[in-house]
Amino acid sequence: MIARPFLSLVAAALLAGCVTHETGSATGIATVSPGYKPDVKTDEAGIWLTADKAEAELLDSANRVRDPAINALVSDMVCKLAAEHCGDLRPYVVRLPHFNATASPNGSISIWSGLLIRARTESELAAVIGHEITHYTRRHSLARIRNARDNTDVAAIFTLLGAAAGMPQVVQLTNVIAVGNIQAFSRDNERESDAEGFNRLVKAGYEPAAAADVWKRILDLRKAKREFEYESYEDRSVRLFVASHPPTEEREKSLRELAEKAAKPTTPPPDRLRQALAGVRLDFLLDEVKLGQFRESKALFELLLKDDPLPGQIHYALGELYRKRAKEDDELVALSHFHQACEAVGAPPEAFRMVGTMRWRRGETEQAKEYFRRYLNAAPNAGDRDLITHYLGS
Amino acid sequence: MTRRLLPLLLLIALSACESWQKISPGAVKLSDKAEVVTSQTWSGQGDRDGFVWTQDGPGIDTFFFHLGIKDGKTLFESQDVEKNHNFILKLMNRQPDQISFRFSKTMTEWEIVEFFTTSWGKLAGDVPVKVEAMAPSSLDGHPGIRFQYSYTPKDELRRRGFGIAAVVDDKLYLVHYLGSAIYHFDKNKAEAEKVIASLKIKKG
Repeated sequence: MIARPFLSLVAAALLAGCVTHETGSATGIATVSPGYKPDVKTDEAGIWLTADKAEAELLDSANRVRDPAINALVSDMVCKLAAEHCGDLRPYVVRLPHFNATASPNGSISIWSGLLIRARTESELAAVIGHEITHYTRRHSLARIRNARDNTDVAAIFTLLGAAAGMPQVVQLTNVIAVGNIQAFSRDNERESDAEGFNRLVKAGYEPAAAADVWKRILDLRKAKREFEYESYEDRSVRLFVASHPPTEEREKSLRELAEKAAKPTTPPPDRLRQALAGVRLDFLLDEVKLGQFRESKALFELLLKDDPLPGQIHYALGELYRKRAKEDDELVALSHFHQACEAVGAPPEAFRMVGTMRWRRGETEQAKEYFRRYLNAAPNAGDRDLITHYLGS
Repeated sequence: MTRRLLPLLLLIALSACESWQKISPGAVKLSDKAEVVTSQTWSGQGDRDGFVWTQDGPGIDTFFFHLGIKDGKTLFESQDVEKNHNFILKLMNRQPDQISFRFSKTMTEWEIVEFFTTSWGKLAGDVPVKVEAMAPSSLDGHPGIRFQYSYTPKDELRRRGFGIAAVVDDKLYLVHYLGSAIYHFDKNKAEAEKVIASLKIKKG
């Protein structure tokens, strides 16, 4: 009765000792050199092949944003941040309304629209792109796959031994330890990308504090989101064991400490993000509204409203957010935002239509018609022109 | 992979409540309050969210009949966050940060179409559904709105669709047809128009 639990512990200790959490060169995988291509006979070539296929699909994807201005900006930023690796990286802007960016082992980088509306400066966006470039240069995808393979191989051996010895607890324990090791390795890769991405940010002349600032914003929005919400799976006790990324608080703190030690840029960092986003941002804001996450989106829009050059867009998005929630006084709040949108810089034509619509519902026909006319003036080729004309003729 | 499969899984889940049945040409009684006439054969099924018809497969070409959505209800019951929320967490006043997009009997035509496109885009995996045109129309003589839309879900096959919606006795009746933009939409559009034109709604 004593021997079996003891044996389990010994087995677990042996398994844990088989895998280290070292990253970077300590993993035995060298950083890529410019123009690097893997040998076709290696496992890495297979990983690249899969990434090439995914990139080909992305090229034709309806979700790929083809707006020239934002694509020109991210391409320029990637080149600045990647330096000698510029020619090996291909950035894509993708219309996905969540905070994220990804780097593939073959050099394709996806920048999601949800990130673009949450980054308030070009430096903040650069911090995230620098992090992703590091995943590429350090070949983290390959390292993770090899690490996962090593861990699961060892777990399989101990599973067999445990089964042969009639000790199911060994089987369970070895699998749990393997998962823990794999995720811990992933978190270390992320820490490495944060640190080296920060160096790239500073070297390219961007604001050092931006890296911590972007994570602070994500933390603030997350706090706003879960004001009354149950803690999500990843945010509680289990996260330290199975999370693929370090806690956001830790990342912000580490990056803040690095920023305090770093030299400030000698010239003001470029900030072309808002201008480059002008042609696509309204769509991105409305995608955010359609996610239906009222508290997080409201916090984000109110933050943007503080110094946004196109407040008409933000007021319209806020109006839509309240109109869609439709609780108690939400209609009045929505109407107020739509009115503010109409008179602000960057007013989308739809703001006029929404005021007209809401006024019409309230029986304020003449006011409604005035705003319908303003809508048609702003959008003479609107797809609902027939419907508007019908209202105006009523 | 999960994201790509989600719309398909949702569609399968939607269609999993009851088995598919053959819909033969002729008059088809959808419910006590609605019937249509079709000249073609379809596969169809109904559940609490309405009726789905298809010829070549759900999602490839699909007819949806939402018949009598009440004030305050979502397009699909699965989209009612409050109703589907874990009751223990509800007791603890812990709500997810998620709006339920609900129909209101006071909605204008734009808002009805917008309610549809938002709910549909959510179902398809948070993809934007673009409204291409809107115009005054009618459903069994009841004033309503006709709309055309398109979207590309995660499977990258662009869909086109059109529908007509009207509020009758404070309830929303919304019938729409969609198909792959490259083939199926055009294939059955004319028949879909005839089926919608044949819809009879019994009031009360």
